[in-house]
Amino acid sequence: MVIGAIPGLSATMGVALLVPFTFGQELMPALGLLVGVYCGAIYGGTIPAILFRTPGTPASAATLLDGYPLMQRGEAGRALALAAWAALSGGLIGTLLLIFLTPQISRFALGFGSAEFFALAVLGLSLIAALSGDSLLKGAIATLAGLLCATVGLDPVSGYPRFLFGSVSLMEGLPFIPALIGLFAIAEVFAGGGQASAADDGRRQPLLLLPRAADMARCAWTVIKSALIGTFVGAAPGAGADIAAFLTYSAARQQAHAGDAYGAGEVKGVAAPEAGKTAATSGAMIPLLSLGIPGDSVTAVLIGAFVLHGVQPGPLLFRLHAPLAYAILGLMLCAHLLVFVVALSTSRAVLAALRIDRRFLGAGVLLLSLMGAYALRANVVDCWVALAFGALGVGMRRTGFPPAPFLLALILGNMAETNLRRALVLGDGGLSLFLQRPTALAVGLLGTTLWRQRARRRG
Amino acid sequence: MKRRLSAERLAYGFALALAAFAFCTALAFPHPQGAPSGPGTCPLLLSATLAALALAGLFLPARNGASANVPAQEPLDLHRLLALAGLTTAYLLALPILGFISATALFTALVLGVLGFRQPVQALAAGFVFAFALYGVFALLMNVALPKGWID
Repeated sequence: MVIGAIPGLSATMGVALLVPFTFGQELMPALGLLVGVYCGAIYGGTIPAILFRTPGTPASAATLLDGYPLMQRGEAGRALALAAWAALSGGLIGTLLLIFLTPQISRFALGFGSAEFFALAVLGLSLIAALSGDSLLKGAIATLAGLLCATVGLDPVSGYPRFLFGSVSLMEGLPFIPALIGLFAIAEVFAGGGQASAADDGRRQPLLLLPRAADMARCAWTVIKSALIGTFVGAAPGAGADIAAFLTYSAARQQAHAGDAYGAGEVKGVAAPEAGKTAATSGAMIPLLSLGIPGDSVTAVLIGAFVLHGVQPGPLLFRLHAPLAYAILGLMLCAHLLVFVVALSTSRAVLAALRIDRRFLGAGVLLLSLMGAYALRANVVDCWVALAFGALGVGMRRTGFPPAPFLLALILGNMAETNLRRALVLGDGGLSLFLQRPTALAVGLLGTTLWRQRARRRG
Repeated sequence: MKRRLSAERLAYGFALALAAFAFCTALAFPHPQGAPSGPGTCPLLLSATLAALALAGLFLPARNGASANVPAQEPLDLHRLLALAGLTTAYLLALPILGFISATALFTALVLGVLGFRQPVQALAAGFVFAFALYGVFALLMNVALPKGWID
């Protein structure tokens, strides 16, 4: 959780750093450590996202959209408790699906090719209507700007350098995490925003902060839907918790009822991305365990840990080492439960951070943000990127352009372009491949339908 | 309201400028013969669409009044914004020269001053505490290579 709470220190980095420490350990304790760090870090990013509008991990950026307004209303404890509960629920549902449906889901995931990935990106982008607030035009402009920024770097098909302007550091593209840190954390400090309210109207917090029964009842169906979406998204190789979080948030917002106040502290807006991203951690284990293909960057590191301890994940794992495979699934269940317990029991200590002098808090957040941006590649260019996006973030907030669609487009842009162009090559320059792939067609049509539905509701 | 209107128009203008710049740059990207798309295809399409939408934002009237889409906010403290941005720029430039610890300590002290903490000695002390703590976490624990200076 601590690793996830520090901006720039992602779950991937945490797991990668700890793999060498597991050299001398037995297999199960080693996997327990790594799976625990994975699950903890994914939740840990939620804490600064809610308290300081500074997502600790990219997957937590969706949570802050409603979590931070809740904090501003003096309900930070409520948001944290609900986030912990939603994360637990999402994790449990995802792990149960992992236990019972791994062969089916892995067959589905294996069928994902260029056309399907492009359709998934289109689905994600079609949901920007839900993230655009009052102005669809501004949301569309922010999305297109994000997609344009995603083209910076080497062309994914030909390797031609685009928009580098002589900078070697940008060859891999605009670094996503510094952009995220700048758009939200640095922009927040620069704009002097957000009244950090006294922790929950000054009453002494209980030792164990529990989620409210009314909140759980209100969010139950949203959590189940988000967990299902998150598990399937996580199972698609390359689509991780970041995409799952935004997709589930957008999907929940897309189906807002009258009285839902998304963007202004809606509890479902906290529960949906938390359930989605945690379910995606279980989903990412599906292709890892059943096919030996990593579902996301963390599971790519976990493959190394498996091999280090003499276990080859893949189709034979369940056949030859079934007790081991199910023990790993049991570890995931335990990890989600323990994260929940630790999250609730440390809430009071965490909320105490809100009592810190705002001037020191602002300086600390700014410093930590710059350090988080730097730590990724030990490159000052990333700090410059964070600063530039910080200025952009301030401008976007002042002029009503929503940063969430920009961020989503930055995440999905590369995936969309790469897979579209591959699909065009495979389809001999035409779009015939999309018509031949029922999954891609279905996902793409779903995206179009959701877009039209939302646009019609606005009209 | 007039100020918000001009800020919005500035934002649409910025989007238009970005689109125009990207379009002109992408025109120079090569297009492989016989290939359905090249490195410039997506940037050209995206920038053209962005330019069209930015023009629409500039020239079409808003539906429910010009400021309907800008939420009410506290007035921006421009001096604070410029001071923080300037300090951050100076910090990033000074990092390779002064090294991590001294640059960070000085930066923190100055940022605290901008944010209203008017006790320079305590601010500098706090700066060194922050700097050493971050050094411990990132350099010693996480093995991140930080710029070296006269202290480290």
